[in-house]
Amino acid sequence: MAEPTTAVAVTGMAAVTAFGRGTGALCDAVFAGRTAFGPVTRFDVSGRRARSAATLDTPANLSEELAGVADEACRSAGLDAALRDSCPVLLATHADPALARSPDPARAAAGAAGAAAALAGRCGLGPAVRAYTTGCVAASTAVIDGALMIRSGRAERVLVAAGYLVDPDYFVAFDAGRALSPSGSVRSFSQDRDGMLLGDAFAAVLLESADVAERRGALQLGLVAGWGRAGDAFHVSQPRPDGAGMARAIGAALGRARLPADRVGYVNAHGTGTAQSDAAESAGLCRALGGQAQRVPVSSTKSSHGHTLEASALLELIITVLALRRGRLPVNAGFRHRDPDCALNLVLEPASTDADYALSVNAAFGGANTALVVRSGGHD
Amino acid sequence: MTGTAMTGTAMTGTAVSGTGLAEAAARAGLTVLAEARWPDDGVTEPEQLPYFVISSFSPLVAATARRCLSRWYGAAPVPPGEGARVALILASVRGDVTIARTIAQIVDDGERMPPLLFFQSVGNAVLGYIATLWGIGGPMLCTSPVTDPEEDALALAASVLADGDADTALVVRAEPACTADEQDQAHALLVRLPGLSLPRPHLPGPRLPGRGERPGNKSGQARR
Repeated sequence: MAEPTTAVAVTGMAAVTAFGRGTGALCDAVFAGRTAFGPVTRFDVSGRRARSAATLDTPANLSEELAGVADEACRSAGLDAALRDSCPVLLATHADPALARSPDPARAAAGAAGAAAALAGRCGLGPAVRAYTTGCVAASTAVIDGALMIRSGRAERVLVAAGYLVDPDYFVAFDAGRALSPSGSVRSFSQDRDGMLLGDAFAAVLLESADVAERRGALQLGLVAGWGRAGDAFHVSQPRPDGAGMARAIGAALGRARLPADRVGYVNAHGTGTAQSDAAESAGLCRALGGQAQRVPVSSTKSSHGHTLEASALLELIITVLALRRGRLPVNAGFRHRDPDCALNLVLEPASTDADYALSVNAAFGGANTALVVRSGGHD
Repeated sequence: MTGTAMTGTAMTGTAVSGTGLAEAAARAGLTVLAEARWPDDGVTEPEQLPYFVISSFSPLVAATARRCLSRWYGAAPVPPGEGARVALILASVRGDVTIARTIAQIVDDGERMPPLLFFQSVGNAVLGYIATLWGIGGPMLCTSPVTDPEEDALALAASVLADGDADTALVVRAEPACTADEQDQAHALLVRLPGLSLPRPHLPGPRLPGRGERPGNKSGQARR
């Protein structure tokens, strides 16, 4: 494992979700356990098993919203034009569904990379490096690679952005795969859970060398202290039931952070609300954390803001940073009945915390697992 | 890393370079263990995969990966203990455009969506297929590189390997055809950081020669 040379700080954050614009609106909701789900009106869902999602009240445009959160994250970090110009961009998103409808082959071939390049150009940021299309771990994978760029000295700071706008293509495909909740509620880790619901989200995080941030006097909101990624080697779409892949990702993250499991004070779980995934994740947490898995507070905030696909891990990183900063635990909303296959200490009511470290874990199709260890940057 | 900004990717910019991946590996300081490309050896249609329908993209990725892995490891799976430390990296600017277009067409026409398109909408599903078949449990990444796809894919592989969650990386660079005058293309490399000493797998029976291997070279190692 590579020896760390500099800590990786979070110095800017921004989010737009169905709860509104800003990280404040998001955190107020998840700390209170509110949910954002309602009937889908953006497109026709008649004839579908599921009909709900967490969508913005106002019309939204993917590229404009991405530019908005990127600008806000840079502004909140105090980046001037010169610092922006040298700040590489990593974007987590899938190719805009509009590309698949374009009669122009060149436009159709632009892929997700085209969105990354457009974002960097529009916001006066440095080189767009790549887009990540690894589904639900796209953003956490981008965060890890951004942290590696900083630790290796290849960059002083990296902007990681992510976006997903609930669209008919993914809604219908996920509905056909019986992944969406027909009851219109996400009940992560609850025995009566019946699926996920999609949600709009745009998020941006500015990662920066802690040394550089300190020299320029930037506020360090939190630190990405460790990370790990591992595969299940099990199935194209189903998680490994024993959670071994996720456990290895968590173990690697704790190892990089040099953190014993009993120092983890909160876990932001992947927690999609699907039967197999939540049980496998619980097994993975128990395998990685041992007895601490039954003690540490755990919640899935997808139960509030929905599954925001490529943006989900970045949104959950922001929530985790702010949970430590504000000393509040996000609530696992929608929960009703204990499931013996999900024997975790779920956060079921608003609660405070004095934790200094938290884990954010994610999993994706193909058996891709990621874990991030977040260290508090101080309290508000 | 260059500062080139772009607003779209030209068709020619996404073509899979014949030599670019190996050259990028050399620039990234990586040792190439095995290599495969598609189309190759007069075979133009990769075999069908269970669970994957309509599009040739995932079969293309899986076939190229299989050729590359088999040139180093022989038959699946990767030796126990080693597989957990193999990373899978799929770099494709376009991604699976056929699946995206098919889903869009079904939605626009109001037709019934085949359930299998659910997971095919995400690129890492085929990496899950490869991982399951070969017992590979390292980091899994799907990217759409902005500038030089070969350069970016190998630089990413070098970064992942240096980070320590994997000893070996299979990098697959694949682009599906978008027009009638194009054809699906893929190129795969199995790479390691230099100086890493792991036992060479025993290869039972005949195997396909890897690019850069000389007949009779018993070590079977290209560019070590």
